[in-house]
Amino acid sequence: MDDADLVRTFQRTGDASSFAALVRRHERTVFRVVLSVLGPGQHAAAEDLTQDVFVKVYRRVGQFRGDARFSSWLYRIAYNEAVQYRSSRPFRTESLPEEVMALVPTERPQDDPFRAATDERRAALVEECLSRLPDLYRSVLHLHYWMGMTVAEISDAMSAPPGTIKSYLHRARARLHVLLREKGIADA
Amino acid sequence: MPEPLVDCSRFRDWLSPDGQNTGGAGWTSHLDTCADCRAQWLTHEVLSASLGRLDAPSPSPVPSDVLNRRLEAALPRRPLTGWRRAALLGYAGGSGAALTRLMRDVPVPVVTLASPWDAVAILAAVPVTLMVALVASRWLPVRGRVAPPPHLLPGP
Repeated sequence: MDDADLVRTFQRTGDASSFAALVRRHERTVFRVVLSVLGPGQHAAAEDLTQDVFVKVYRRVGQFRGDARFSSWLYRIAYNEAVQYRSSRPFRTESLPEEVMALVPTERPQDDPFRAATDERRAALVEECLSRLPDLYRSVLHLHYWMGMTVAEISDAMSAPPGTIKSYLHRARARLHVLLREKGIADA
Repeated sequence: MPEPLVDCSRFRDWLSPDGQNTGGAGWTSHLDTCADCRAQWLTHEVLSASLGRLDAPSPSPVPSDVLNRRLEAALPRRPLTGWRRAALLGYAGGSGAALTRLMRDVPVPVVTLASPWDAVAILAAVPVTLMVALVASRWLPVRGRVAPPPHLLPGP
């Protein structure tokens, strides 16, 4: 059964398994869309928000008329919830204290500690610059570079044509480049 | 052999492949002459190095009981329709008539120092019986959409 059939069945009969199938089918993408807006270190918040999204969809599914794809409608709700959540809280990166991080084994223990520290610092600066981008640009960059999603996959998750996603990526990189240069990164 | 000329749109396609563009040779000379594409390339490199080293996140499986509880809490409260509305209207009418009749027969004031508990009982009777009626009417049938069963999602 496709999404439309499951939604119709749930609307008509309140069949629990239909809604469960929709949750299982889409929870991963919903989580990724939410996390792409919130950023690294926000896994717990993203999981809570993912549940919030499904609760909201459960309340509103009676209003869904099937004019658009269910997944588009769902992911739009997820994106809006994440943006709303983020705007209601000041941005902060959550990382473990250094003494705890020192106990975490790395995959490459022979790596140069100075290099590792530099990479860590650089990644923090990049994330800070990303946090200053508009939500949409930050989201597509995270989906593409962090979560490894292709343009086609992002197109599906963001309910936008692939050409539009490419355009978003292009503009996002251009704006990020300016911010990175201010931080002394990507200045070559 | 000289590298073929690559324009900006092809370079953009190469930078963000959608599964169809696999070619990418020949853009080095383009980057030397195009500042915009060079900026794109440098940012691409920085993002690949910093975000690409992070694990692609996956959600922890949502415990069915947790989501079930949240969905149950999201269920709309039983509306005052159907037999429930009829029962409560009947209660209101009946209690109003009873009070009217009682107040007509009992001299005012009804509170006396000898038996203050009579007044307390009369005053408490209205809210207490109203609460009982409201709770009891939850089991009366209502018309409209049948509420889903308590367990919406199957367990693991």
